[in-house]
Amino acid sequence: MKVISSICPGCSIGCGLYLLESEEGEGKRIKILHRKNSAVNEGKLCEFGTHLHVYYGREALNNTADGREVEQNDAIEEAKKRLYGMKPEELAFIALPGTVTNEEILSFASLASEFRCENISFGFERFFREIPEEASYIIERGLPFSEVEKASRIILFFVDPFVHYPLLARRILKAKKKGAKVVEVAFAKNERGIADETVLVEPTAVAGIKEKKEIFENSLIIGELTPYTNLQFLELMMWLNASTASRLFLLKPFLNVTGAFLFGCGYFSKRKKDLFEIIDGIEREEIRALYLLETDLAGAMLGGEEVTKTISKLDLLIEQNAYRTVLSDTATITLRSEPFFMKKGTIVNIEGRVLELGGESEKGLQVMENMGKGRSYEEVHEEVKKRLGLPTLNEFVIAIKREERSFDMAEPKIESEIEGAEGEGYFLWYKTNPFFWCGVRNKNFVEISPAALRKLGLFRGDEVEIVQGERREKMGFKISELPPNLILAESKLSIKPFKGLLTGVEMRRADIKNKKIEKFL
Amino acid sequence: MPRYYLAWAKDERIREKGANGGFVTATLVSALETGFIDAALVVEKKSVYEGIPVLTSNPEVVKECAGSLHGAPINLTKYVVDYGAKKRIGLPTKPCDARGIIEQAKRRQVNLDNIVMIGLNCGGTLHPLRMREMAADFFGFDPDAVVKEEIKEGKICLVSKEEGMGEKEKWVKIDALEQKGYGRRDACKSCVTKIPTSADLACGNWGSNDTQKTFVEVLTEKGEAILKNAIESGYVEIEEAPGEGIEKRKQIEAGMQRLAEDWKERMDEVSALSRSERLEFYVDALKNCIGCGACKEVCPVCACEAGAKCLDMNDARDSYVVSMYNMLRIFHLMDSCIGCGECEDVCPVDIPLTLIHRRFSERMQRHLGYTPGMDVKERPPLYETELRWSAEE
Amino acid sequence: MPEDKWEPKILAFCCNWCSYAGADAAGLERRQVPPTIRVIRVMCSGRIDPAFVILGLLEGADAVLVTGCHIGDCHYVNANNQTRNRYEFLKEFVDELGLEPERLWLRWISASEGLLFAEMVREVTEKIREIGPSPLRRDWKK
Repeated sequence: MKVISSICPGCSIGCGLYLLESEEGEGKRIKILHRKNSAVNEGKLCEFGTHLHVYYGREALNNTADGREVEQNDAIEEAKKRLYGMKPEELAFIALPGTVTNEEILSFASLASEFRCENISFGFERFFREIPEEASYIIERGLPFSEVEKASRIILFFVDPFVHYPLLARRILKAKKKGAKVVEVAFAKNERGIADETVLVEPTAVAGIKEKKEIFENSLIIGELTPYTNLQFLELMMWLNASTASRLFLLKPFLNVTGAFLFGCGYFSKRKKDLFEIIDGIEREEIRALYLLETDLAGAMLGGEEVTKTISKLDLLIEQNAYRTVLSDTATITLRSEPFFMKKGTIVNIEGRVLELGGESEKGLQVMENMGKGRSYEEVHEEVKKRLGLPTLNEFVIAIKREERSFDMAEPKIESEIEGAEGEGYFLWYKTNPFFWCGVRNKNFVEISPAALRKLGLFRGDEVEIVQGERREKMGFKISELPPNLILAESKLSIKPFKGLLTGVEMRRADIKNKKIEKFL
Repeated sequence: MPRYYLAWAKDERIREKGANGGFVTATLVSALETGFIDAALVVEKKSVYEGIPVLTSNPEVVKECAGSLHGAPINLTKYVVDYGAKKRIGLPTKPCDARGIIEQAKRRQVNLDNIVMIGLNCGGTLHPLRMREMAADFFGFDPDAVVKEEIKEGKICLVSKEEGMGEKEKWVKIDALEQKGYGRRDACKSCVTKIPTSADLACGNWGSNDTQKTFVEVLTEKGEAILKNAIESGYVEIEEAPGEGIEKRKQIEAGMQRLAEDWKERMDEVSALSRSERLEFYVDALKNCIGCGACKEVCPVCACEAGAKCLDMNDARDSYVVSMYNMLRIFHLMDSCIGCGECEDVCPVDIPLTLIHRRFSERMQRHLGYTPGMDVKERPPLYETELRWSAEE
Repeated sequence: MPEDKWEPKILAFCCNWCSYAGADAAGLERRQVPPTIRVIRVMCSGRIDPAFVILGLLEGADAVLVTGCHIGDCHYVNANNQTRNRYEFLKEFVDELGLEPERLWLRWISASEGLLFAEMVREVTEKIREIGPSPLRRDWKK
């Protein structure tokens, strides 16, 4: 029985927990022990955290080169040789910072510079391009939860804390108990009634919220920023923040996002290619080699099939991961690293706490270091501590603080709100959550309005079919108090990535007759 | 052979490290060394605020884990179920651990023959983060500098050791803390089982006239055997408990139970509500549930696994006012909830589960005349074909 | 029936051997039974898991009736004793939850007691009309 102090990789909150690893009975078993002394979450975990054993129970990745299993060192040498064979502008490095430590980010960035590669993405670069430098702190840093608890007025800006970031919900509830007023700005009223006041926004007229900017005065605005966030939507949030006396707190889906901003992709990286631009580059065959660090690119992205197709155009795909992903079979070289809980290193959570992982493995870091500079863990770790300005680490201290600054922001235009909406269609809005990005389990249903239920003549046990051009997806449904044309999805569908705020789709009652016959045959 | 003793460890080091003469540690160590048990399940101290359960067959580890740890409210039941299946294990148990283990034995998840429970009298535990706040607000200590904690005679003591400042010790009355919302966990405040009568031994300082002696009550044959084993192997010495000690212990227990009843009333915000307001309260509290399932996972009474009814009959697509999961959990715990409060500790949205389960289970258990976790021979009444009182009718 | 007029919806679990036959008898005897009742037949009242009753209430039933053979007459030796035990639990549960106790009923009805069945349904319907719709019911906005 081994006890490992660990951090949940589900989202940027970074909940502390213990993992009990026992080898009694059949094979290894992982059990979660709630760590009640954790400053971040007091031992509480959301559905993702309580099911971490599923996440860590996935199939491990092997070291391979050209599809053959090889020793790790050989794989590294092979990767090194082939990377040197490429021109710098043909290379790209991607790491969505879900399970990467600060040390690994640092090493990854220096590895990219070793190959003189400029195309290194942590998923958020493009946002920095459109915003003033003084405002970049809003993206780069979060706020401690004690600030949420202390706030007197909280605006939930298209965020359902219970689904998006469950461990934030209790902080808002605490603030409410202390007398804070919670206002939600959303397409539909929150089912759990967390808000004292709801400002409903028409799906077709999001820009209308600009006229109501007085409600944002003197408040803490809580929003979400993901690689998919619509740029105009971000500008809208920032503009509301700039033109009122309020603070903006953007939550992000990946655990070490703050660390990635500190060590890899802050405002200084705004000229670099972004995740989507790299994929475009691969599509246009300008980029021919890609290094993926602990990133399930096809799994984490909407429309994964298309991404897989694009990726297959590459000459060289190097994947470093602990687990097999959708792309593992197409990868030229795969390099195995240890699962997140076994790693040694530090991360920075959204509050700005520097948290230490309890594992012992340096494997992931060593793979990159062996390919590049070849420093030891201690050296990289020292550099991390130096750059953070911290001689010692304490989870009870907010080490990475943020200072509010005022900045000017031009009033954003909100255009093309709904992409692909024709006629009397429905609008799809993704409710992202830890499961959404890590894809361990899918909630196989969408939320629809009672009006849609009546219109489609649905009964209990029926399924709906969501159609977007050629793509169609059959799934169950749940009724919620929504505007008639809105569909909410908590899991990834094959529906095309949305560039507009919402995605226009059609919906109809699925033909389940065939299904029944299948069952009885 | 009388049932009450004063006992202490012979080994001086154990006596120093453990509380009240180190009897519990010495007993476990002797049981391990003589092969009376295969392994001991103890809580390893990480700091005053943190402990993790470890299963060990190394007596040195057990010695290291000596001493009480009020800031680590862990229920050991589920660890016993997980790790105690094939081994004979011994462990120190708070009343709620012992009751949980008995309930699991009723559900055939553990074999009681393999488990020796060395019960600890328990006045309650504290939530580690509340304890940190308490250290800062009430004691004026830097929470990270607190090195020792002790509870005695209704007072809590913290010892802080800061660099260049030496050791500072401060005693504060628990009652004064609790009036201001600090202090013990809610579940502990309202718990009336202060002496683990369902364990094999019940140990504690209540009734002992000497800080270096533990008052021990022998409750079962197994308890007697492990005590005998400890004496014969030369780890423990005993003397008969004086009559006034037994009396004093009873008084302390009764006093604490009275206090718990008081707290129960004071913390029950539901009793003043009308019927429809009560429904509103429950619906409001439970609608925040995000369905993480942690409360079931940690529940020391619940023995169902993946196919449990509360999970099976719950569908995320339902839009009921209260989810089936919550309704079934409350229903199934009506006869069996031991009120340990583990569920509330891990609830990510802070649903007052201790209160809710207590409201439902207390009236049912009173109606049934049944206390869960006390006697392994009593089956959970929900599974019975004939209830005792219906046979009497 | 006009849409805005509320009528109670009563869910009845009937056992195959006694109370379902009792309901049948009520029909054969041409007794008036209010149309508020929805019957689910089970082989034995012992099959009625308390979860079914709770599910019925959550689904919006204004009252749930549990019916079975008289004690001692069970087709399966003594399974209805268990029904009685579970009813005790359900009674406390419903009461504590804040629902009116009248939303849960337990009646023993034999195959020949058609009259009793009809009277019971009438009584329950009247009682529910008095106390109104179940607060657990969810009505969706049009």
